[in-house]
Amino acid sequence: MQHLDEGTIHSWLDGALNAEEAARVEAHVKECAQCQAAVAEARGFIAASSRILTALDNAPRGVIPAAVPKRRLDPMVWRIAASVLVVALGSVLVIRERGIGEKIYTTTESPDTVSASAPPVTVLSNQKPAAAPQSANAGSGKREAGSVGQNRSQAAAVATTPTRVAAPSPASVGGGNTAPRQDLNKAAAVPQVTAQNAPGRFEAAAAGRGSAVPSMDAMADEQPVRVVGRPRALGEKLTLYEVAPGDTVMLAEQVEMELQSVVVTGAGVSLQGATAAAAPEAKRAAKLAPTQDTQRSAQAQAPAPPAVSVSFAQTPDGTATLTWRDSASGKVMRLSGHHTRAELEEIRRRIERARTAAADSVKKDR
Amino acid sequence: MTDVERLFRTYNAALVRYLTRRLGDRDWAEEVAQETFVRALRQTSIQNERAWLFAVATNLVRDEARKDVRRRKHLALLAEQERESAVEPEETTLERAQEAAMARKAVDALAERDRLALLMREEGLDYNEIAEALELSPGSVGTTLSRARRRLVESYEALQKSREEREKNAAS
Repeated sequence: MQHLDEGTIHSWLDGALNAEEAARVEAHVKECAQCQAAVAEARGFIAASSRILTALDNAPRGVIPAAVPKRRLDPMVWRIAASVLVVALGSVLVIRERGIGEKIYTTTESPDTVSASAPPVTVLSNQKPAAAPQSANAGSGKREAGSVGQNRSQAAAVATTPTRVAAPSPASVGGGNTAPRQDLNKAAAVPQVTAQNAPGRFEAAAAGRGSAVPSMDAMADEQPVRVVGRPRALGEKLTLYEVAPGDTVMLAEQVEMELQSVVVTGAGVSLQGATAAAAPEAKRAAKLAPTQDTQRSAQAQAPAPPAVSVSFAQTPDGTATLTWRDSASGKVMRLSGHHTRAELEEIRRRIERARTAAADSVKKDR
Repeated sequence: MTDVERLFRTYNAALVRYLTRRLGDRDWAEEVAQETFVRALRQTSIQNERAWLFAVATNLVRDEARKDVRRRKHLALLAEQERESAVEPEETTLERAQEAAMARKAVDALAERDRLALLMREEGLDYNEIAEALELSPGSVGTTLSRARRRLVESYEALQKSREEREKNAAS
């Protein structure tokens, strides 16, 4: 018997042959390896074509639109999923970049790397808290990315500020690898201080355009504090200062509550006389009078500006907290650390003076 | 149960599947199937019901026959009842959508007669029924089916291969 043709094999496998024909094919296949292979191949084709045709069974409905959406939504679901992924990735990148920015920032913290020993206070204000939930969306991501740049410029500007204590020797700031040197050189050798609640001013100062030294005599009396980092916290913005070598300070701005806090940690702050902060926006502060009243008793003992109420508290572990309302912005500030009350008051005055100086310098610059 | 209802319940699912595979549109397939049953109503006697239904449906697709709206209403109701009892098809994934697109391409690449014979066979029509519906000689159905299956699988595998190469290129 000659070999089976493909049509016969399929007919046999489909059960389309009569009994006599089927028996003949079966007998041949038993003895013929070549036809056994052909039968195996035919079985494969039958199974595969059935499987392929099954894939057609979820065909879309084209005539009745109501029945269509479920299937037609599928590509959209993929697009949405993809865009969510992109946004999430973008947010992660922004957060990471921000994290790097802070690291860079904190490198200026080390006294060894900063020869310009008189950085002034620089307050980063009116910015969203780093860990705020809004950072998940692209818009705020951009905004925060922008603030990273600001911080870097600011770091450079801050580091170049000279002081009374140490002559303004050539600075190697931030290990040289982080703070942009261009900014470094451009920055005027004056206190680059920004007033809180004045982001526009801050930018001007950060760009190194500040020129006036309104409170140079005051600056000469003390070692100014400088910004060394901006740790992230939920619902508030923290700024870390160094008030003395190895003694860091942190500013926390509670955005939603319109509060601003300064946290001082460490010890060995050198405290020196200072001028009081000006109150250019006393009207705004006055609006918040109820809180001031509650703090007035504390203020009585303090050498702080008379326009501002102050309260003092200390926890069992020795952390002292000084709370007052900023005369310029009306925001409540909280300064805490392992210091005496007098020391905290002193630190507070230094910070406020630096802010005032920055504000004035920016004003003149305009 | 009327005769057309019995025919409908017996053959509608297979006929719609056959037509869906053939047309790539389920609504269109259902319309043609309903029209097929309407035609069956007019027949006094049908010798081989299944072969007749598949043949008429195939011809309807070919001729784009007009529809009998009035009688189809009743059948549409029946179709709805059946759809409600039917299991919803799985959610379409991207992978499945790609497979369906390739299958569509591979099926469309077949000759019309090969395609119809294969689709009918998949719905359980025997060789005689296929021969009757497509007006073929019964002896040629095996050859037609073997050719259709081989070509379908080969073109599907070719599409699969080129897709894999595209993905490979995209990845590298």
